[in-house]
Amino acid sequence: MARLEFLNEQYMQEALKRTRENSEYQEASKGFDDTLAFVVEAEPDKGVNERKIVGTILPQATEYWMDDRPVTFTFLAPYSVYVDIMTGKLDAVRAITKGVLKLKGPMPKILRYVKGTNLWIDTLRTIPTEFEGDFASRSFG
Amino acid sequence: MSRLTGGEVLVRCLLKEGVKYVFGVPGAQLLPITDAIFKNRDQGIDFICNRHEQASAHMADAWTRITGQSGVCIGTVGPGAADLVPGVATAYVESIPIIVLTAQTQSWRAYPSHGSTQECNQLGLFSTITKWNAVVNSWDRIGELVRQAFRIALSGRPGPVHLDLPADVLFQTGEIEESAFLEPYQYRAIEGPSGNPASVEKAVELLISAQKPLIHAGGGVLRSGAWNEVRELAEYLGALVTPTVGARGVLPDDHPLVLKPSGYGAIGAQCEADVVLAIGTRFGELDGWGQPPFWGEKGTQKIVQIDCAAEMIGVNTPVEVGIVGDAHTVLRQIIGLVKQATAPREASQLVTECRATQQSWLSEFEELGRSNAEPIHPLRLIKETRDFFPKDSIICIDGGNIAVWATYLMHVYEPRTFLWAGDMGHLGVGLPYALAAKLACPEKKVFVIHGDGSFMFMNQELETAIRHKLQVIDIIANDQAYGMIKQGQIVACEGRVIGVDFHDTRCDKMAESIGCYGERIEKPKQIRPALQRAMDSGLPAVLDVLVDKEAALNPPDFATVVDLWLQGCEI
Repeated sequence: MARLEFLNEQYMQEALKRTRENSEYQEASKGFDDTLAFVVEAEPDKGVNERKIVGTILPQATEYWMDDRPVTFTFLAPYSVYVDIMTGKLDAVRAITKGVLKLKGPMPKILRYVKGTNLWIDTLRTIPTEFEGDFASRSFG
Repeated sequence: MSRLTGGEVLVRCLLKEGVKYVFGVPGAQLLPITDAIFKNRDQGIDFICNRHEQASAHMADAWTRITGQSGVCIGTVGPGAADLVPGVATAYVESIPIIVLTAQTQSWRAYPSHGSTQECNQLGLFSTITKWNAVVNSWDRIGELVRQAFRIALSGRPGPVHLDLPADVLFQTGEIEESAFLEPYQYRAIEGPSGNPASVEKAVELLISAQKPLIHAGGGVLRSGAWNEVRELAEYLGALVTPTVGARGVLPDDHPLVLKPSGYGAIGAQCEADVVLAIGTRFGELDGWGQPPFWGEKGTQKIVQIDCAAEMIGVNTPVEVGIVGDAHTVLRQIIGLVKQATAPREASQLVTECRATQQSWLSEFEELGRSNAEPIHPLRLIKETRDFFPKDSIICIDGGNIAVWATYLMHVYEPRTFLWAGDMGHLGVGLPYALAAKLACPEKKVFVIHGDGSFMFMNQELETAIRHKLQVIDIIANDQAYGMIKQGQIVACEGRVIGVDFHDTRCDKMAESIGCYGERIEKPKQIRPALQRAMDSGLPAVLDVLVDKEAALNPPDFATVVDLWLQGCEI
């Protein structure tokens, strides 16, 4: 499979498909049933010029959107932080506790599903991924 | 009128404070003190001789934490005083009001130094690790300065104080009236101060308006003996309680409103609470400084802080209301007003959510606690140990990674039964803490969870244990490494490690050579029977447990701890 540009339409379609198919993740996230959005801040000095928003509902993964809608959980970080998480350099929960990945939403609930969150990130890491700008060299798959 | 040496005057003052033990290593210049203790043993005071003065300071520290009374430690001039330093520094960082007494060379040879053997600037040495210190430069001032020492140690933010006692002052004799020995109530406050009524009213308004109240209980609650008040207020308001690591046991871990410190349930609650009542805590590093992401956003979350020291109010995070006062006294004020203002409340939905989050966080650890894997998983050792000992046992924690592992399954059920120098993180505290705990509570079982690194810092105190017939059980999670540092090196230095691996030391045999019970354990099923044999021996015991070296290196929250420690460093 060719690499997909991180968080573009094709990437999101593949991400949702793999999310639905991952039974271990589905089991770990049973009962989560909530909406999330990921806000990716641009880093023009590193060749990432556009701010992006992608949202979905998990663990169902039945749809995604790329506009600003009301959601229960919003994650916000610069592009580089997402790259660190996707390449395994940074654990997602650790990114939250370090304060580099900002979270708006009920913390007790997201912390109840840490295992599911980690399994979801693992699922996304199976997608051959192309990063933008200065991060292109960290593309994988 | 009696004719007494300086040492005897000093000891008579200590007796008035109810001091039962003086911990130390004897010395020539200390002779008037140790001899005065000997002559007053029928009055209820005794000397506990350690094998290193650091242990004496740690014992005074633990005695204070458990009994609420200031522990006393002594060291002789020069090396004896210097050896006390690590223990005094620990007590200082942890706000433990111990009394430190050092002998000094004769007053005409010290300050400035005459160059006498062992003479050392002890006033300078202790000045940065005590709240206050002084040279007792005259026999006539012994009583006054001892009283000042206790007054300062126990007032405001508690902490160690130090008196430097020149030998000539200690040996000197003089006439003294019995009435010169005052009762503590005659020279220091016996009860802590109450809070400003207007501030207390504001705090109550916030608490009763809260939808998701939370009580964050620190070491000041234990110090003040205010655990019943915390429980009463929490249950009345349906408020969650998050003890700090230093205040574990303020309510039992299995109380439905309590969340384990630094666990996901606690972090979730701390982020979501709309009003936080922080008692006897400064929001230190292990509390994430009271800041997001471990706490709610400023402006949304309102904090009421109660502290006995004005300088601690708002020190690490802004507060809505700051109340200077004793935890017990102020909580009684708050409870009275809360009960007038509102009927008892049901626990909020947040309680259910956070307890579920905590359980989810703990479930993986509980599974590891049942692991039959060989080598032994550290959590299997923690769980077996906790399950073996009664709920009211006194738990001492001493180590790096094993202290983190112990966080998960070493449940604490009673106040003042969990001893860990979490703020200082000093290795070697475990055995001295345990010995003092056993002296303070001979009816209770006392055990230590050590790493093998920390055990070797103070293992000579096993001889003190044998000599004083103090049965404490030392359980060593032996991974033959300074595990926490090793893991840090692996992560930060691309796998390069230096100075962190040990030769296989038979700690059990070392204990046997001193006269203790010793046993090495290599399989999970051996743990419980070995604990039983250790107890049945009636002796101080060392169980040398070989744990899984790889697993031991990686407690799940290690990375978070490192992030806090090295915040802002480019790694």
